[in-house]
Amino acid sequence: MASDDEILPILENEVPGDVTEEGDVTETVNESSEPNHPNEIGDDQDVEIQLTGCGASPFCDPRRMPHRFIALFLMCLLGFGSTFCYDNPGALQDNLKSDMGINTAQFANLYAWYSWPNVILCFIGGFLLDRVFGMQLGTIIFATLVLLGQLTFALGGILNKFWLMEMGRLIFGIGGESLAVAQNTYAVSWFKGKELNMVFGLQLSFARLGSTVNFNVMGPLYKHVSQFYTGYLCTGVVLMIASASCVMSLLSGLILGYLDKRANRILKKTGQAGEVIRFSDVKDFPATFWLMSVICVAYYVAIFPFIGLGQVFFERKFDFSPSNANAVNSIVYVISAVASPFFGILVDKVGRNILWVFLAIVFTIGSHALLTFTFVNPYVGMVTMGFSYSMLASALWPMVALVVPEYQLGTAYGIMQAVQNLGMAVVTMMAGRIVDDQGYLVLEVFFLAWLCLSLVATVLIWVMNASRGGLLNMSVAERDKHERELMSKENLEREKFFASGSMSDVTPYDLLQPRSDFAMRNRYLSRIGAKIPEHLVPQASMVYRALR
Amino acid sequence: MKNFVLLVIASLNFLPLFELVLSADLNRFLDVEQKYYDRNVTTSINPKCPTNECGNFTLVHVQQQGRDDVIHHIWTMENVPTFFYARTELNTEMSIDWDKMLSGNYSQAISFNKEPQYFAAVLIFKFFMYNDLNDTGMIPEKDNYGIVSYSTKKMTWELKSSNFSGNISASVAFRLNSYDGVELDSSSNIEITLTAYGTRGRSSILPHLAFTENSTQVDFVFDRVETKESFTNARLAMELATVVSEPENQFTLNVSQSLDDEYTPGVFKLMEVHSALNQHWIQWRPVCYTSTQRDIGDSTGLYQTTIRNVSDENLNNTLLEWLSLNLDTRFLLMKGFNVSFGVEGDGFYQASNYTAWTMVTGHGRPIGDQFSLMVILVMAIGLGLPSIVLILGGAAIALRNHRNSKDDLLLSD
Repeated sequence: MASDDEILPILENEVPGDVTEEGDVTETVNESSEPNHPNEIGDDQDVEIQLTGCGASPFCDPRRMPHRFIALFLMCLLGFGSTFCYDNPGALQDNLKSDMGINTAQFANLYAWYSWPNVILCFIGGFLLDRVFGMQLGTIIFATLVLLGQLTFALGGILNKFWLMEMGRLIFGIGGESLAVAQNTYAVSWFKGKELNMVFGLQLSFARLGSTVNFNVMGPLYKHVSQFYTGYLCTGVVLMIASASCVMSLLSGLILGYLDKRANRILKKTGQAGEVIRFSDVKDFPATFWLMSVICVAYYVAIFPFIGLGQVFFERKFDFSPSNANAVNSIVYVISAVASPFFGILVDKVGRNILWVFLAIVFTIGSHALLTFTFVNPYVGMVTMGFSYSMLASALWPMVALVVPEYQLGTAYGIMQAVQNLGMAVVTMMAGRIVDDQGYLVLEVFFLAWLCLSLVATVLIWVMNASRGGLLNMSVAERDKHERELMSKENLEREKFFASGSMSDVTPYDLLQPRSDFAMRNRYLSRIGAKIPEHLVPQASMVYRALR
Repeated sequence: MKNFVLLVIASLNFLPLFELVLSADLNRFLDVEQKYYDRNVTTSINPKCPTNECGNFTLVHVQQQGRDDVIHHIWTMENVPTFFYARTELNTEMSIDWDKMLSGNYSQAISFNKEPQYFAAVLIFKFFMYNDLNDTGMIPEKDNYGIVSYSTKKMTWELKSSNFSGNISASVAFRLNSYDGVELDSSSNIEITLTAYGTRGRSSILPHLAFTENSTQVDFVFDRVETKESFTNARLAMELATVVSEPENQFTLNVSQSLDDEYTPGVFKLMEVHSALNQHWIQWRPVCYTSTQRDIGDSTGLYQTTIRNVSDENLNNTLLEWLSLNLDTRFLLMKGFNVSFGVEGDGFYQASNYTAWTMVTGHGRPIGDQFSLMVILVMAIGLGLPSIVLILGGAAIALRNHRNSKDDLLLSD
């Protein structure tokens, strides 16, 4: 799905207590934010290059904040094109359907085509960026793909070839999600150890801005263009104009590439080690992780496909004009642009993630029910949905870091995003069909059923978690205490163990703790003093992913 | 193992989703299972006509025989398309004096041997074609840019098909043959299909209107109607009128918002015209379809005017005059309204050259919209399952905590 809703600075997250068996190993993880780290850039690093002319001014010196903020602005623009164009079909649903002579199912396919490539790209996008193309070239390639995709999409309109439009969305999808990863990689590379959280927040809000602007601009734009062109030609021309945003993104990608190259030269930056995704990690993931993936799919499919199909729903059920329908449709984006940072802080301070997720789902069910079973002004339902959605995003993604060891987070988030995209593709297609055959009431009931499923998953996580100490639903203070207790228990255990000599490898404690082959082997390896294989040692490189 | 079981439970919640996708027809099937109301439908065309000469005259007689009474429908396209029904006692016969009819003296030629308890009729007097220059979708009160009206008295219709399936339903289709002596172009098609059912349920074709055991569904199709050349923004409309045997001939147009669009996707309104005593009704959805496959994508809206008086001179030489009824039709006040197909921005009739619209008229009260079994089931399971898991899970944890509150098996113990 389109980019970067929630960006998770995993660096900031504590390693969950479950992995303290490898306590000595995990400690190294937090060092990544310490100085002297190879990836670190910044003022405290001794850089010898003397800059002259413009280069010495704060706006051109990569060591100075003003310059970094120019880069930040470009990073935000980088994602603007793809977020702006992602919901182009949604904003023009009415016109698109009548101009192209397509039904809702075919229309929904435009969204499904975006999601399909990302089922796989979630895993390899980061890899391509880090290892194959490099950050600068990769960004330009992905931005070009986005532009190409949008141009093909528009061309499909101009030529009245719907299959061409679908192809355009596919190309657009290949570029779009990977571009979001590139955007985040840039942010990490330039702001790690500095204003990173704020930068992520800004990028996120800017992405939301793109969606909002789209919903409020495309309608009037279409109206204006329809004075000169009619039918599919009008749709094509409007989409062609929208592709200007992708040109802008590509340009910022090019400039950013130049700035980055220059900064690398001046700061002697070394390349960023990318995240490592290993499918062998999958078997180590706890059931709670899989349930979180279920939430991730079941919840998000009730939000984004709904927004994609929303315009006509609001027109037909609530007698809204097309532009008003788009305005109410975009309210979810507006709210999450504003509220997400606050909910992020709230969840960080309070903890109790499951409770937040639970509440978010319940309120989302409420908002969907309001839209379905009443004629109450849809702003009420959509505003509620906007807040609940922001709350869920802020509470769900960090929860993954509590159940999956840090060095496996790359794989974990990759899987979650892959299943999310898979779910999104399938559900969007189903949703289009449902609208055509059974109408919006059944569509809403369909979404409600998904939400209920995510509620079941939440309750199951809560039950499973509570039966194991309840880490996920602790307040932050409790979590700290829990961690300290675990630590001291572990230490005590270790002392006892060494005191008892090599009497046995198997203690009653061992028998009571289920552990994977992987953990057993590591424990064994560390006991015999062997070096733990390089790739298993928690990487200094951290995972930054566009999560929404 | 326990995790596995929990995941299985979680996946059970998918069931409503599958059911949702698969069972749309199941629940329609269940809706129809209301035996109590059922009536026995028998049909005849030109009943007891003695000669072959009745061939150029078509009168359809449909009886819906119930437990306590019989509904007689008489449908004819002669002179003015008229869809009449009367509720009578059991064992009431309708008879036609064919000698009179064939000699051209139609007046009071059709009679019931027992006076009907109630009767009503819907008539179509005119079709219109107008030039909607301002793209409003509403037929103008005054002829601003051109309105052509086609009186149905000048039309001849042919019986195109009839389908009497057992004693469950009866359906006949009429096709417009000629207007004012000029035959309709063979590529064009204007069709009116009438259907009566013996049960309650919903029509199998969009807009899936609800019918009762004493109603008639009327379906209009205007396919490739040749529009007037000078009309750049042509739209079609028609004038409907209705009479009832009620002392106060007052009708109310009721526009109700409906939450439920599962039968007519994308349409959340239901229009209903009903008589003062709530005995006679006409119901439709503000949607007409612009292609033969009828789906939400190929649809547009429609407008109706307010209900007004229609001069009863129009009833001259219509089926109502041919019926021998105790009540003098001259005292019947007729009410009518126009229906205009298409709404602003849909590209006018020329955009599709096809308009299909359906209404249902009937006796008693229509069936209100109600959520289908599937919707109720999905919501019940969807909300019930998380609650059950929550309760069971909470209980399990409480029990567990209670049982082994202190059993840390550490070496240090």
